[in-house]
Amino acid sequence: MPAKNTLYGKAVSVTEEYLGPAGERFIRRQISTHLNIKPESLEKKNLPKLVNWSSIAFALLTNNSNDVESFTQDLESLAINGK
Amino acid sequence: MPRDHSPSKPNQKSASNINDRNSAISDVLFFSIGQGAIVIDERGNISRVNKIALDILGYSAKELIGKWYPDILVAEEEDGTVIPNIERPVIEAFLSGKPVFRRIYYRRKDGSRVPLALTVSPVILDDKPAGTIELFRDITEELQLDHAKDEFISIASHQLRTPATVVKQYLGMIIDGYVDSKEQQIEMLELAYEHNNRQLDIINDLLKVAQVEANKVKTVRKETDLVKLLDKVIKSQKPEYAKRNMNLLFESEERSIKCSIDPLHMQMVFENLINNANKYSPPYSTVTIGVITSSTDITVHVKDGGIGLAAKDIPKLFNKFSRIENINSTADGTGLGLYWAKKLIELHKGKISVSSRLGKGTTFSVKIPWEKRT
Repeated sequence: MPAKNTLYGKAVSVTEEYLGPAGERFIRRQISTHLNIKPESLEKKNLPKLVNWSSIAFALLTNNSNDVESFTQDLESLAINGK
Repeated sequence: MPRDHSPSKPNQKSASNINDRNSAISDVLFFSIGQGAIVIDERGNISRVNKIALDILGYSAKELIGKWYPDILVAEEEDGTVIPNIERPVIEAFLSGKPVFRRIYYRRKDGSRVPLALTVSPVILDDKPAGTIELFRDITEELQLDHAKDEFISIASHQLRTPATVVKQYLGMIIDGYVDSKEQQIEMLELAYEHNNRQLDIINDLLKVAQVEANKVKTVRKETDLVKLLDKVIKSQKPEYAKRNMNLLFESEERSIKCSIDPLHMQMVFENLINNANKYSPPYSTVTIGVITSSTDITVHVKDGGIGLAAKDIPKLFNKFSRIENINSTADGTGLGLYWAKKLIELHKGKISVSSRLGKGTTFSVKIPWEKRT
């Protein structure tokens, strides 16, 4: 379970709101595969790329465009509100 | 029309031309892909689909384009379990960032299932993910071939094991000294020899089947008198028929029918059919061979008064190793004869058909193309 006060922990919390317990695995794989970094070392500068990949992967999982929009915005907002 | 000499326009036009050309090339490449291809955009909606994909899935482009892909493309495992979205190859490709290869089943528009070898890759434009592309091909025939191969190996092994076991048992009894008298030893050696012959028959039939399937069997056509050839086959089979007090009749409208066939191959075909008619008919019954000609073909009928076949068994007759259960458990044979006969007839561009009723007998008809000479 990642520490909730880290950026990675916040990204996991956001994703879990939409994907439930699968959220952590989902976001962890996005970070390690597409950003080539350890999830725990996620930084604000990595967010735009993570948002790009994650929002499309999420759109492949759900047909609810409002959810996709909202998930994308929540992840993007971590750049402002995140650590 | 006045010419536009402004400096920026030619460059813009040229850039636009390059874009148009690149777009046209991209279209040509996409629609030339020799597999089914479906592009899914960044919202999970189907944005492009080629004709092969439409043919495989039975949808029109209008029915697919713009649809959220899991709504219309139901993916299943071999056992029919629906693959949840999170486990679909498209998600795996996206999560891993690498192409994913997998065998899955899609539901066609008509509800039937089609097995596919699928490759899904993420599409990345300007270093940003833009969707995915699925490439797939229908592997129905490959699966059928795999299944047929497995079945062939299984049945061939089974067929060879039975006589091999008998040979081993008889030789073992002699070696271990269970049989004292020379007469008994000879009797057992003869039985072992007979079963060894049967093994060789099976192996020879298997080799023939392998050759015909590899298209290595060629017909050597010669001007042949079919009536004479049938007469020869019938004479050679009469002693076997006599053993079971059976009649073998030959009826031909003409005394001589000259045709261009491979006499050895056609002799094998008729030997097989007439031999089968003997095996599957009761003693004291009659088998009739008839020849009928028309201006375009010759038809040879082999009609028996045997036990006949159930309608459900008829389609299996020409399959490899087809042995119809419960019709005559004592009849020997490799179950390859009719398969081989059908292949030889097809090499003559001919056809073999069968009509039969349980308890009423069976008629095999061999029809080969022919030009009647006047």
